[in-house]
Amino acid sequence: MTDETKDPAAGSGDRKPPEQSNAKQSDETRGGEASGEKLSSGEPAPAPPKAAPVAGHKPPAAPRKGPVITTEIIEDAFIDGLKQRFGDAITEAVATLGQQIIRVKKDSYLELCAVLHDDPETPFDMCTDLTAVHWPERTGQEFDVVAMLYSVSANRRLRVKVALADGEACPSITSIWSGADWMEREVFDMFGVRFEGHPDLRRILLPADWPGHPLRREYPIGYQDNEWTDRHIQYREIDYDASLIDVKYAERR
Amino acid sequence: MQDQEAAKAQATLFDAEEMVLNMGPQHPSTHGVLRVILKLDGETVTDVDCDIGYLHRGVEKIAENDTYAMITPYWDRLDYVAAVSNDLCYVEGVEKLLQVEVPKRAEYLRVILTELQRIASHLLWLGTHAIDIGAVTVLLYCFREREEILKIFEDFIGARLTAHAFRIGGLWWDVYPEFEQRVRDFLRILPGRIDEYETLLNTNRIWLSRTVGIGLLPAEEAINLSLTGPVLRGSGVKYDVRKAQPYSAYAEFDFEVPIGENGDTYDRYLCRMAEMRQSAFIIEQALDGLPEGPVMAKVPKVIKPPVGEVYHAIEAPKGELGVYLVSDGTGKPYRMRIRPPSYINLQSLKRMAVGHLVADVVALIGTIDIVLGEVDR
Repeated sequence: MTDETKDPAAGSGDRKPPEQSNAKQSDETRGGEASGEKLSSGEPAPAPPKAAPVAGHKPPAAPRKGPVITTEIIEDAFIDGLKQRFGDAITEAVATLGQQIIRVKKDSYLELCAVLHDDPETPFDMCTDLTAVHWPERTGQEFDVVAMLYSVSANRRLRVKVALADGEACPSITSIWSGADWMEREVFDMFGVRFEGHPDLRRILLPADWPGHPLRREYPIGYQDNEWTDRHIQYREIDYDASLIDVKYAERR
Repeated sequence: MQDQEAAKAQATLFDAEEMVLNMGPQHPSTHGVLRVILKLDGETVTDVDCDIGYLHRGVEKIAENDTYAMITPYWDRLDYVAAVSNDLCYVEGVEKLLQVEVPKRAEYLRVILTELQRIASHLLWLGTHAIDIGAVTVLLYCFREREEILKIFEDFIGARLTAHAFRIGGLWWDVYPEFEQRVRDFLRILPGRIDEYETLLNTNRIWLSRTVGIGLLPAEEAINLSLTGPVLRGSGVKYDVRKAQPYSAYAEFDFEVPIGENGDTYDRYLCRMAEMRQSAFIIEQALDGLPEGPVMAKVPKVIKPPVGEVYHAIEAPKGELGVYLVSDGTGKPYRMRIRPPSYINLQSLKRMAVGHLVADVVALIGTIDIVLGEVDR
């Protein structure tokens, strides 16, 4: 809305008033030929009619021209074996920057982890890390729980991802790797993802009665003053001589 | 009859009921604001619960709203006694995502600085661990050598503690002319000083009775608990990221990964002492082979990695420090996850402390080597 109202004022009829005005300002300060170039290149060619952007929704970032970094895993006996065993449950097996990622359906997640842990040749005996990523635009699959596994004897890493809907519980892997305990608690604390079968699912970094889960995308930054602080932190007005402070401030200036 | 009464009186006096003891959040032996809730049966610990988060500042959330270059200083403040190592992890993670090749000289200097930082961190650990157990002298000795390292840092980076040493793509400056000589001077005195600490502790009767057999962790259990760093190696597992998945220039250096045998507090102590010697050895090799050339790669001014994700791990003094970066092609990371070694190693406190005495909990907190700035992030 605000864009449209500003549009006529900007004059040139382009659909990006903020950028246009910025360019103008900088050109004015710089002066000279740059401004002429920019304006001349901007004015004769009218912006092609693009699809109207959804309100409050950025268009997806254009893929950069740089090298493609994600490729399908081919000819990997171990991954092929997993694919054969789990069939459709493994929906994706890709390598990016030399790191292998497999995506599994939620129902087979726990079984896959158990198989990986007990694999005779490359036993993934360590769960190095477990975290989550929030994708609010992916309706029905808002969360990715990401487990980074490591095999000490085979010196091999594998990343296992499982997609979850908002509010859906994820199977807990603490029964397989006890080290995942605090990692799952942290994911619960920060994202609100529940873990089924976790022995002690409490908040870990934030207070027990903290409102919201900070690492969700919609959670605002700078949310220090909220209901929790109102309840737990008592503010007290302090009498002070305001003139003293003003004098100091004026002196410094 | 009388015996029965005496037994009853005894039972009420020395009740079998458990007592809950709060240790911290401000306790001199907890190395920061860590609160440990202990359930005690007499002097014996029966259950442990760690209450953490007092220093939580939401670094991962902050990172989502900052550009890639702006995030680096936050990493200095995670493990604030090993700031240089932290920087290395993040900076290399972003470089991996950008697929930037760092100049050789920068990589060698990074190795030198990181290994110096490892020695500094282990010295601080040794001093505080010893003072927790009751050996006060060692702390003063350790701080003497640590000071030398901090001075070298200060003259190069400008900060002693939160040293922001690295930039994405290399180093901001080349080192000052006397740098090499000063590091060599330090390396000359270090082995003798480590011998000195070992003379103070290795056969010290109090030290032995407080560390040998305390906090035993079998190798399998240590792996299952996701432990890394000296805590894992003390249990005899030869896992060091520098060797297993070499990063920076570590593949070019010759060094050993010291491991323990029994997995108790004493073995972890020996591991760290041996690691300091190995670090000095690596620095020596790096100084000998230090190539000439630029220290900064060509990096775009606005860092916008391609869409994708990466996990990068380094061997920080405390264990495997990792970063998981998800990029959506913009100038800010979509998600940045820090894999903090202190946080994950602290989980093992419960496993190690149950069955030991209250005084041993202090020794165990020391042996895990935690920094609360990293635990709470």
